[in-house]
Amino acid sequence: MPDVLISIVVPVFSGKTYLPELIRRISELRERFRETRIEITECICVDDESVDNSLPVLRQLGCQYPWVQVLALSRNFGQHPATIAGIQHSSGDWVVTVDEDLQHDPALIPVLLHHACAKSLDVVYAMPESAVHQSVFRDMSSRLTKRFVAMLTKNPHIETFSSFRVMRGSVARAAAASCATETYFDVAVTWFTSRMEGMSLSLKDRRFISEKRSGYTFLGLVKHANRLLLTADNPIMRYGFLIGILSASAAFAGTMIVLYSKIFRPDAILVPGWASLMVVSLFLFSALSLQLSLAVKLLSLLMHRFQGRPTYFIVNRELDSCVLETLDARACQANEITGLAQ
Amino acid sequence: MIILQPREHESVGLIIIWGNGLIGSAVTQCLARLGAAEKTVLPFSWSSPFKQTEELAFLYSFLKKSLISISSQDHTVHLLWSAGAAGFSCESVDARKELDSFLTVLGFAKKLHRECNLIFHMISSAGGLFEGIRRITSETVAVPRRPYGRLKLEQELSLGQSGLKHIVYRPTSVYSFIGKNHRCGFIPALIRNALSNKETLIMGSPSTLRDFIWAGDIGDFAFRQIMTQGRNQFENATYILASERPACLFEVCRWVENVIMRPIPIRYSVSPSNAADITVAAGTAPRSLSVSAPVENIRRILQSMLTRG
Repeated sequence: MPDVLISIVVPVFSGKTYLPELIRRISELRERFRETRIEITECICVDDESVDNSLPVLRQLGCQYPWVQVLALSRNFGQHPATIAGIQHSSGDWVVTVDEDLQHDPALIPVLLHHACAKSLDVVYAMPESAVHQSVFRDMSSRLTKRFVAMLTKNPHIETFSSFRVMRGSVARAAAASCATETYFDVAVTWFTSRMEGMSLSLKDRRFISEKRSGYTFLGLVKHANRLLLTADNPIMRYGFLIGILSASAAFAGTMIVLYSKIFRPDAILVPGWASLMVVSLFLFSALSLQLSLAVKLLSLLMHRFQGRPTYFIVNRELDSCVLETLDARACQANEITGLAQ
Repeated sequence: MIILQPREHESVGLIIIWGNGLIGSAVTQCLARLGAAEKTVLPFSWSSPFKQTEELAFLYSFLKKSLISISSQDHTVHLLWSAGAAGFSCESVDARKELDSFLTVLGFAKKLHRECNLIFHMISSAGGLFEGIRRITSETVAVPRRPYGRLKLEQELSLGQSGLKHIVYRPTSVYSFIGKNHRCGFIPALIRNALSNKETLIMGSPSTLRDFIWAGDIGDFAFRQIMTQGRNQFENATYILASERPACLFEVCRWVENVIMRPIPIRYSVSPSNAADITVAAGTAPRSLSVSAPVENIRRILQSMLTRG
């Protein structure tokens, strides 16, 4: 019985043509781990009501490879819910998520796993070395959105997020359990661990490059960004409070000025009542801002509770040395690691 | 034990439900829905072998009379062993006592088998047999770690050697609620404690994986076996009854929190004795086992607790 089990999760939306090759590659990798302390025990393919009728292909692959498990979602829920469904059905010590379109080569899994175990990380994202879609608009929009949200929310991990991830099983499942309808899965992961990194690897979205077609529409990407912004710590609350404090200070300063003018320099008041009106408006505005920010703060606390943000979480990293030993012991994998890792 | 007689099913004569716990009551409910009439409810003394002999003698005569009245030659008697006084953490002494009672009932079943076609259904335990084994498959060999698991294995072996027609059910972590005076599993305990603001001690960690299965789903499966397995078309079988959907304890707590809408006071044991993952590989459970949604079941448990106490 192997010591370390790996589950691979593949959300499927339109990957009919790529799936047999993907599973063949995973099968190859599985063979390479044979008789070691690591085993790829399952590949959970989640059919997200695929547009190209991928389900029969998946079913066929499930018959051909007993370790391929097929889940069919009742309707199209999107990539994140499909990934979450797969993770929640997994039982591995490590969970790997890959796209169905061969953008993520399964042969890179040992590289990511080695990186995670060597640095005692809980999550490693594969980041593309160069433009993954070879389309300026597509690559730039994706990068800029992540950078913008990372800056806004002060969450540095957001820039490393990618759908090719190697995650510690316990963390992945707990994060998946915390996800509500609009939760961005990777943000939920940051509630459980800060030990996450991106690793630069050679990744290419061959489907997009060759067919100029992606699993995502523009609207889908906007929704994705919106979900990311909503799940990450919302800055509006902080800014609202700041605006309230500034307005209150300005109102207080204004009151002082109005009183000073009224008492010591009444002749300088050209339009009586105007300054007082401004001061009163500022006071009201600051009171509203502060109350609103407090309401948002309370709402966000409720959201945290509702989303299931943990007070604490426990992980067991004892098996990392076993993974490292196994990966290092295999010469071919060691070559991969030195050859591919950056 | 409860003795039932289905009304509109020709191949089933009598059904003896030995133990009206989580699974036994679920099977009884399924039968009641079909219109099975409850003939009688009889006691069974766990602690007194002398009383057991008396009770079994009475039961034997009662069954004989009942079988005559329903012209038993073409009917099958199903005996479902879903009883158990010893829990998962029981000591060897308690396990031994329970095994003795089981062997007594098995002897009774053999005697009854001479009079009619009898099928023995036994509720075993995947958790007890495969504790600490990850990804249980139908080929996995049972290696029990504690007296409870060894008891279940002994019971299965004794049944196998008895020569009786039998079906063994090995459910994973069963959850349901049948009343405050009955033993309840992990999930009802979480709900009950949370409702009374009591702390729940968990002998695992938040990441401990389990395969939770609703008692009603097992009851439904066993019920269908009872109604379909007759005299001619029978083959001994052992089923692992699992949802095949691993759930970490953190997730289970989230399910409960979302249903009861309040935080659950939890204490994780520093030296957990039951923290090893137990999961079941896909394709291990029988295809005809239908698995219901856990959150819906938790709602049902909550409803039962609030209405029945």
